[in-house]
Amino acid sequence: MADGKRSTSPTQMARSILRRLSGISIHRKGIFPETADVVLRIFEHVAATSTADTLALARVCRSWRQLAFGVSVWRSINLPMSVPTKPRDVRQARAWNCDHETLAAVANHVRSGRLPRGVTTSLTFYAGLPEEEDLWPACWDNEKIKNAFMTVLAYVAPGLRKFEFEAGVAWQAEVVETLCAGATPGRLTEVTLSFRDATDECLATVTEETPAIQRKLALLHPFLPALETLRVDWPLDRLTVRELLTGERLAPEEVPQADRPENPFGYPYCFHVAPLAGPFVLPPTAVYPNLQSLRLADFSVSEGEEFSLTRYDTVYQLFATAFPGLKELELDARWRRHPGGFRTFPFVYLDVLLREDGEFIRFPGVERVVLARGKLEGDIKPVTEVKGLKDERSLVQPEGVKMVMRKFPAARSLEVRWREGVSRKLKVKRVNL
Amino acid sequence: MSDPANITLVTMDGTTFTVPSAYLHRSKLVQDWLRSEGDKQAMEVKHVTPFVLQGVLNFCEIHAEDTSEPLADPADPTKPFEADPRDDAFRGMPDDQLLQFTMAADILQIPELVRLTAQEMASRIDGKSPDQIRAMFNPDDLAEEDVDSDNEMGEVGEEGAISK
Repeated sequence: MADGKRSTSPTQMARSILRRLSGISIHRKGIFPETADVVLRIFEHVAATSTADTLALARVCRSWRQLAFGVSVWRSINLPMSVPTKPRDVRQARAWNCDHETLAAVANHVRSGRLPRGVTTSLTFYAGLPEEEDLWPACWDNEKIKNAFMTVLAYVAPGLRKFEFEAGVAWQAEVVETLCAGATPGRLTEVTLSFRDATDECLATVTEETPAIQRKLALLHPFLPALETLRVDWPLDRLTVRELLTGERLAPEEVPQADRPENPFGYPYCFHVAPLAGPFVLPPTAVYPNLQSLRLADFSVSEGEEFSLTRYDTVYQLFATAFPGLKELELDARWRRHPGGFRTFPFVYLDVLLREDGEFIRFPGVERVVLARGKLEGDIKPVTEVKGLKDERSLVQPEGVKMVMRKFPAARSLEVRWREGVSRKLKVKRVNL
Repeated sequence: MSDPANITLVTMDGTTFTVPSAYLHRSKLVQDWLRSEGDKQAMEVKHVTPFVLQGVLNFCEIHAEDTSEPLADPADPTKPFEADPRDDAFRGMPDDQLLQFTMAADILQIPELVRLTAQEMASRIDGKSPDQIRAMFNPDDLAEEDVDSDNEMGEVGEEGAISK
């Protein structure tokens, strides 16, 4: 507790002067409990949502500082970097400063050995840089911020059960490498990797460095058997199913063309199995029964290249085989502009998922389905014409639900998200089945 | 014990509350007491005022028939927790009262109430600076020189080091 009564500190003198000058009564409520247990309970709840607040508590007084660096308080570390998007918005600037300082302080505590070791089970980092580089804060230094984060990650990795990360693609290889080098196989159960800045430069980098990235992602394989949740949002490009399965890159002449038999509909598209790369470069016989929740984003197709429904089915087959314990499946597609100027159309997965012609894959164990920002429209006739489904929201109407149930016979809840109106506001509809 | 279906609690000033034992099935302290000393007339809860104990018992009564699994003690704060509208009374409380309830819940070892009050207190601390937190709680052992000298917040420097 306290180190004993001090004589007169400058602040106490200031209080005394203020009191005399203004007659204002500055008195201590002293309402906070002396029981360390109760204070700790509160600190733990503060720490669960905000590391910045934990650090603020540590700066209140010496005894709170001791409590704030207690073992139970650092079970989770949250490091959001809420980057300002409006140049002269004071509130945004303040939030950015606070987040920036928090990362710096945590890195500093790591380096000084003040942070309890091996106790952190959850680490979250989020850097929401806007795509337009001129909107980045003047003081943003990608390398320095990355180094600070890597310091923290390397320190806490051995104890991690949950790792949630979202930042630019330039970080991807190092993050995966640092995580895999430090984390304990069998202990890590929830991984979210999201590299989503969609600038031309980033996408070009990703496309060029795909083989290297895949090699890094292969480091995750030892962790897959224990994973209960894996979320991957990764703008990898131009991967075929064979590449997906084997990890080999195909020579250009080997890439299937639009008129080949595996493209029965002859669509001028090629889907990108972007998020499926890496962790999903699995031996065809691999089975990971512990994985219960899977979220895939950027599940898209590109105009101007070949497209094959068969490939989608192959991917779904891969999921159904590799993840028999899957209970939650979220497919989240986004519209995206590519470096070459062509657009992607992130809608086909829904049509393919729900197609009724021929053989299709069922997910018998999936109880919760989220179909987000996909679309049912355009040239995909097997679904739209036969069933009259007009768009994504049709999926929560009786006819659409019937189709979903064919694919997900055990589904108990369905959530559909779509954008609507001039404002393109995101709408969400949930139904219990 | 005269009536095993009920339990009598005595607060710091001697006020007694007799309630069905089933209300307190989530209190580990009460359950331990019933097992070891249940033959006594009343259980003393010395550090709790009548007002606070009444509030705790109201909480227990509201949740007496909840079928959810009992929480571990202490509850894991990182697990998601949905606010229950039946507990709104705790959200409008002044800070000092809320702290008294947290202490009472801790004494009685009711993890559900500790989680509720600690979570509410954490939300009130959310986003506040050390100065604002001091103004809010004013810990009794505050030593001002600690506060001013403890400035490790700096810039992110090379290799993640801090440059002040």
